[in-house]
Amino acid sequence: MRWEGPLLILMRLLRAGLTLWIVISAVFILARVGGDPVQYLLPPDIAGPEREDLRRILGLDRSIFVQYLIYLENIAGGDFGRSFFSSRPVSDVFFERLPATISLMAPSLLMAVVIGVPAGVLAAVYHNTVIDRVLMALSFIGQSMPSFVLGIALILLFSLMLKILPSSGDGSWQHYIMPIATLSTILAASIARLTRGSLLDVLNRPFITFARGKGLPRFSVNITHGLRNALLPVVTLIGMQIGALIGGTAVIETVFAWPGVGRLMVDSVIRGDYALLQFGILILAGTVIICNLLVDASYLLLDPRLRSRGAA
Amino acid sequence: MMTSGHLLDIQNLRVQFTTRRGVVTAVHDMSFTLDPGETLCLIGESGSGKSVTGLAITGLLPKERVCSGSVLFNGRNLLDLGDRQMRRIRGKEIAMVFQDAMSALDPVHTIGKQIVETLMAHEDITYRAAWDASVEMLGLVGIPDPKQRMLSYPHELSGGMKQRAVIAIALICRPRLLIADEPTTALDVTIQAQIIELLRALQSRLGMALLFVTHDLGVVAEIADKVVVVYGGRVVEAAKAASIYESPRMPYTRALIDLAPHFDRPRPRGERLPAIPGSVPDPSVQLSGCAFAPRCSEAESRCTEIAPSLEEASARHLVRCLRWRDLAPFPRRELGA
Ligand SMILES: Nc1ncnc2c1ncn2[C@@H]1O[C@H](COP(=O)(O)OP(=O)(O)OP(=O)(O)O)[C@@H](O)[C@H]1O
Ligand code: SF4
Ligand SMILES: [Mg+2]
Repeated sequence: MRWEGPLLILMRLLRAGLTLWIVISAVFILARVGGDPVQYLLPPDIAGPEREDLRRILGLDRSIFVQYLIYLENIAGGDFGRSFFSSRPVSDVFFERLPATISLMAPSLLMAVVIGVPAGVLAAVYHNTVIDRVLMALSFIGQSMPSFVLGIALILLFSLMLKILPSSGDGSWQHYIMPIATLSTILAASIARLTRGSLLDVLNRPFITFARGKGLPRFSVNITHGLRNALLPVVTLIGMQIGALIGGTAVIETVFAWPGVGRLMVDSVIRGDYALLQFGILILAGTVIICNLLVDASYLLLDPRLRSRGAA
Repeated sequence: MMTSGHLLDIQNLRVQFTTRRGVVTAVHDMSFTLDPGETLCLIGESGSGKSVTGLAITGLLPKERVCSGSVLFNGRNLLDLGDRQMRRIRGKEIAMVFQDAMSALDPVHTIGKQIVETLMAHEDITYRAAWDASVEMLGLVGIPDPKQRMLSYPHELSGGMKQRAVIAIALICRPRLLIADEPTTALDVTIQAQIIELLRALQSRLGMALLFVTHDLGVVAEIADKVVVVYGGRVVEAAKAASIYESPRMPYTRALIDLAPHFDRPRPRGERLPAIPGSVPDPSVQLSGCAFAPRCSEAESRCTEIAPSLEEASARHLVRCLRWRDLAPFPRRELGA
């Protein structure tokens, strides 16, 4: 049916919009039940009237519902407000921190894929051998270790005991090693496990026996026919894990004192900097949603059966 | 060095699987020969080891298996060959077509890619030349508009067309032996007839030998030069097709023919091997006597004690039965009855 494709896309976009709305509303409410930002912004010895003034300036004197409506109206006009803390536009504060986070996330994601996928392929191809067992044991450990534990363990070992890597900050390339290692470990481990499982499934399918029967080289059987068919769930996982990765950066940036948006978000929670928090969450949630849409679109690339259904 | 004049000479092939429940002997004693240009039909109940035999010949069984005996192909024992040497034979000299064409093709690659890669794996040939040869082969197996079909994905073809594409892939290197394991069971009756026709035509055109696994007695009557009847992983009777139809000696074969009165004549296809009372022997149980004894109407007490061996009852007619000499000649049916 011709309308099916566009309708599907429209539904997706509607859902994405709805998700975003729920996220910003939830953050709006949660931030406000969390406490009074004025108490973080002013020293304790400042008197009551001045506090009330600040509250008025920040718009906090009105009811939550009115604040919410004003907030939505401002967003619609492209005005995301100013940071309570630094009085600069929230987008400026946020985006100047973004490169530091991207410079962690992108290499971590890349590392996780570059390590996870081949490890999963090896484990599946050498199913039930020592290689498989060792890789799966490693990935089990990697997957079950909380990232802050791993981060702290790395700091203890390489910074405090061996003194070969810096424990915090982002001054040199050495600073990148431990945060990236920490961030990519869990993801690499789950990618490896999923790749293995998915590939094992595919390798038992009759078309693999037929491909072997054609006398194709092993690489072609395992990769061109095997992995290529096993990729769909792996891509889904990677797309979904981007959200987890963003969450992970908040922890990792705090552990390694990394000046990225993850720590900025943690800080703005602590300081009660609602406007900044709301903006940051909006952007991060938007990123996750876009990643999910990209994953959906990549299905069309990976599976010709879906492609022709969309086109028909 | 063992040599034989046959293209394929299987002697005492045994295949065992190590499973969680213990060792399973799927094939006990398989012996038969096949010459160039000949068609051999392998028949027997479900679970009798036909597919395992085919996969053992091409070395496609899972690693948890042990094969013994010999599978001579052109005088070389395939069971001794390493993976690399075997790969050079598979697809090039021995090709396989399986029952389920729907799942034999990789869903994410075009037909063209899947046929071209086969040719390029075996021959020193340019992509262009491989492409042209593939188009020609698709035409040869009766796929209309082959140039367009090269670009199609498997899900865009009908079942019959998919099986033709699979056959084209199998034949692209002009193998000397084609193993077809129930290649038509998943198709509807008219398509089945076309595929069988096609295989016959291609066989004589390419001069290849055909090892055909089937349940369909109509197909056997139509194409077989030789028939090998298997029971419980063993060959129980093997002979020229005519000799099997006229004087079946082993009670199992007789029961089959009794239950399928028009065995010796082509007939509407799709008729399955008749079911005889009783059930197939469990491959994980070791029997002392004849594996067929529990179901055999001719069984004597010694049948459960002595395992019969394959004996030559008449010229080139092998039978595995302790009593073949005592059994009355099989009543000849009147033709046309
Ligand atoms: N990988 C395996 N591991 C263990 N047992 C197996 C394996 N493959 C086949 N078998 C067993 O070997 C026996 C023979 O199976 P096979 O597939 O050869 O039968 P078949 O004659 O082809 O039957 P059908 O007519 O149903 O295709 C069966 O009992 C089966 O369970
Ligand atoms: S050996 Fe005995 S049981 Fe076996 S087929 Fe012959 S007569 Fe029947
Ligand atoms: Mg079978």
